[in-house]
Amino acid sequence: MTRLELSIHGLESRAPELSARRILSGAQRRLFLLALILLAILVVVALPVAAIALVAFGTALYVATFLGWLQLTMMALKRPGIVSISDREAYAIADDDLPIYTVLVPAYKEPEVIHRTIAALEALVYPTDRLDIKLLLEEDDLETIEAVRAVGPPPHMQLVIVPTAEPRTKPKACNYGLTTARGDIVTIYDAEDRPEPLQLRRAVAAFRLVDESVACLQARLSYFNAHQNLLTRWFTVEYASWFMMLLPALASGGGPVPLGGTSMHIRRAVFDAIGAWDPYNVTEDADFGVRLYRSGWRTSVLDSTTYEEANSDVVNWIKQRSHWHKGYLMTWLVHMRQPARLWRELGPAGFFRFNVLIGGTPLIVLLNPIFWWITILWFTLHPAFVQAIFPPWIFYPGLTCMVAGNFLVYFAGVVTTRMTGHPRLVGAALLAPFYWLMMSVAAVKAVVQLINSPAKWEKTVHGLDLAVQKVGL
Amino acid sequence: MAEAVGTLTLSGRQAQKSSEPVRVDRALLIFWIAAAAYLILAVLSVLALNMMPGDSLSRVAIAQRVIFSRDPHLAAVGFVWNPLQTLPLVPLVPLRLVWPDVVRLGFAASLVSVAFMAGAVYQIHAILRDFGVRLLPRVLLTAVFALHPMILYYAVNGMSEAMLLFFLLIAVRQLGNWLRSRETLRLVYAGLALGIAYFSRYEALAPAAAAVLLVLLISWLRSRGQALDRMAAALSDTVIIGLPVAAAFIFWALASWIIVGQPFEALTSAYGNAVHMQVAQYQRVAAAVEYSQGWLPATTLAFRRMLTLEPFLLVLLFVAAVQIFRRRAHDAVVPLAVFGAVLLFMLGAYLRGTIFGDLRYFIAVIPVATLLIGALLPGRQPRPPVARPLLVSSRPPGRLVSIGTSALLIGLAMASLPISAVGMSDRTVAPTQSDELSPVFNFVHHPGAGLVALRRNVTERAVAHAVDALQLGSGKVLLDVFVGYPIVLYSDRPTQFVIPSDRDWRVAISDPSADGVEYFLVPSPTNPLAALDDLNRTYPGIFETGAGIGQPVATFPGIGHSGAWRLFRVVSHATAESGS
Repeated sequence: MTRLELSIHGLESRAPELSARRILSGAQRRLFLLALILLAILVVVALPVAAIALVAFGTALYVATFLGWLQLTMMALKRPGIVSISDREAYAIADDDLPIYTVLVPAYKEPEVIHRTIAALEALVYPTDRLDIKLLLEEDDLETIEAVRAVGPPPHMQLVIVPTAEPRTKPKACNYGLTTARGDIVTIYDAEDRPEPLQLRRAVAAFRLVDESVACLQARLSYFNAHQNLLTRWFTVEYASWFMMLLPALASGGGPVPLGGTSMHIRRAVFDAIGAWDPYNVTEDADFGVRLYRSGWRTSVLDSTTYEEANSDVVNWIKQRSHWHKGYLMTWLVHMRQPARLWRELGPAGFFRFNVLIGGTPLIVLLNPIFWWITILWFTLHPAFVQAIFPPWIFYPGLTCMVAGNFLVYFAGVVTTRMTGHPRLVGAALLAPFYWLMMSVAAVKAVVQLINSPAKWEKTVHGLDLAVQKVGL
Repeated sequence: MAEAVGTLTLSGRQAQKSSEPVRVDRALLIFWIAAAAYLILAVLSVLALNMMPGDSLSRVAIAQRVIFSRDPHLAAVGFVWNPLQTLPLVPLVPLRLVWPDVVRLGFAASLVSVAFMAGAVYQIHAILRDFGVRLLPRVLLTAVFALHPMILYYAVNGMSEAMLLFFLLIAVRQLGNWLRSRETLRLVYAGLALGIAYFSRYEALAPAAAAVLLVLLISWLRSRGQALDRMAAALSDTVIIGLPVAAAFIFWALASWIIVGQPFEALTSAYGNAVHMQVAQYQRVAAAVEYSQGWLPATTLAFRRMLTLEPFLLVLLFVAAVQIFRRRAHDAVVPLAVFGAVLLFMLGAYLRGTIFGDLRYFIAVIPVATLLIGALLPGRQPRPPVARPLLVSSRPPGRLVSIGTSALLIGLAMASLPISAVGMSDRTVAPTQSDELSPVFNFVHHPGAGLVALRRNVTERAVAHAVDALQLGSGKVLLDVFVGYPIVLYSDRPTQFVIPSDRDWRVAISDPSADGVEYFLVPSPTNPLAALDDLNRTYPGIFETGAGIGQPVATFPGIGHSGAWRLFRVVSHATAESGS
């Protein structure tokens, strides 16, 4: 296969059952159809039973997802360990001793921002003769290519032109870059990323410390424009909660770890073992994390932060979030093609965690407003149908989880701002329910898109903070 | 600056995963010992001597209604009392099928209060350990707390004091630890404990307010950096301690408003506390005279009550104030703030006439005195990492002085036990307790007569037997459970009653014959509480005349504390007209 073909079809040819090229496998398609038909029959024959069954199912999923979140939060409170490398230790490794490091930087239509990207990469503290930085640009992205040439990147930054070919996605570009990668460790940075300069050295030191089975070190992500507006504040609280509390808990305890989109440092040999990224999956990072775990590799959290740009525009944010939800749903569908095998490979705890995290995340933001709406409807108008579809054995657990769940998640957001060193964000945390509403909107959009146009890649617009500066705001 | 969340720095040597094995706290033994002791005492006092206060029994009746009434539904718990006072009883009520005394004698409530008071004892011990009190004085003090007569009584009598003390003690402990270690997680637990405390008693609002102010002040004083950062830190800490209780308050008010149409049922309900107050003024109990005599005698009486429970309270408060001023007893601040708030709230409510001057409202002096003694004991070594050294004194007290002071303090604590035991038999100071505990006090004064069980609800039992004997079907007997709840408890056929928590109550009471009701029961209105019975209110004079809707069938004379009851047979309108 040519390099291009490899980057597109590599995973598909090696393990077609793990490729998201088709969202639903044949068996899944048949199963969904069967379920729909059964449901339709039930609706016609015994509507109350169908309604109660649906409600029971939805409530059970809601309860399970909440319990999964609760368990993870309790684990997070027990202070799971992450890998922390001091500056001294990072510098201690002799230059000759450092491996070659491949840094993939996929970018698309970023002519304004690319000079900052290059500057951030130049700030990395690592011997340049051992750095293998690849700026991955699409063939038709003439403006960015021009901008890069105008800046004139240093010799260790290689401009790689990815030929135009479907699917036009970030993972495909990264796969293409991977085909000529020279490094023993690989990582990805986005165009707007500002990694902590010692991050690569820390990763090297960390890899030497941890078990052989740890294939990936995920660094923390945060935002440099946290205080730009309410949306960025919300986003920062969310990221703080995930990367500083939940992710370490996840990494330390039994379950696949969905990776962040950047700053995941991976041993090169792993790609030979399990294949590279799935170009058809819009959240290739989550998918890769699951595949890692299934093959017996582990992920740890690295105590180093990469600063990204938080989406500051509502429409842009919804596009991005629906993109993530869509990807999570795709990932769930792909890996659930062979549930028995998945169960074996993940173990019961991991299987539960996978379902609750990957499937549950988009699901719960869809269900929460529905339940709230039904609750408000019930308590104001007392329509009879609500009482009919919520018999006591569903009603009480559901109501308890809804009230306790919403409160605890809300409270956890506030506590997170304090515990992760962002006390100024407490105001945003108090307004979190509006953020949740936005997530629900994005989830609806995701489901619609999943059905209509699964491969569509929602490009996040960057440099919005620059635009704000230009207009003089 | 972020605290060390999830960053066990493993630099240099260790592998990436480090989870310590969970060590079980050996001090849990204290919980089990206390629970076992209280349980034995409960069996004696409730099952053998029938010493169960009416409020507890009433709550067991409420819990029974949720499952075993004619119209079982969870909202039957009602909104007069806070939910945790009744909800834990609901899972215990089905035991009546194998062992009826669980509900008839209210033993289910005892089980709950035993558990929570044992938990409170455990918390006292844990707090003293956090204070750094050495083993011997710590165990002694814990025992003194656990064996305090008031604590003993409220461990076994099913009242909600045990629950409130338990949650407030958790809050005190966690807040104290937060003061020492600055871990936000401690603040989270304290906040959650205060929120749950509100679900057990609305008085928890007072300590919550005190905690909020305390946290705001201390967090502001301790924070560093620019003004904006300091404000943000103080604000977020305050939100953490205050949000759970605020959410609990809003949630309960909303639920109450939605389900019964009133957000603050306890204050406005016909059956709530306010009416009990008016009623008490008619009762010929010495306590009722209290309000009418003005605020000074009332205040004096309140202080007498506090000193009955802890005779050396004022001395302790004085010494604690001095030591706090000399920065030698920081540990005393949190217990004083939390329980002091409860006591001030109770005092204020009492002086305004909103609550009785019941001795139990001042029970908070017991944990406060115990913990103050603990905080004042010399020679302590605080346990959690100390942000600032507690004992600023450069000259630790000599060993002899240390032992002497400790012995004195603990001796004072021990001495309060017999003093309060005697005080609890005083009718002026402890009107309810002296009455409820009369079997014990009678035995002490006249041991020859032996322990005689309280005779309660004798009339109601007779009524229940008589109605059961009629072998009626579901929904045949109209009965307001306001004073009539013991009848339902003693009956083997609770579904035969139509009660106010049934959703068709108003329909049934306005036209009994149309709703299929065949009988109704009315208490004699000479008892002021019985005068508030819904049948007595809806049909004035019904006890004497039947109000045209019923013919008297049987009268049950009042025995002991019970008033008289009368059973009526419903007459349909046609019969009534033709008969007159």
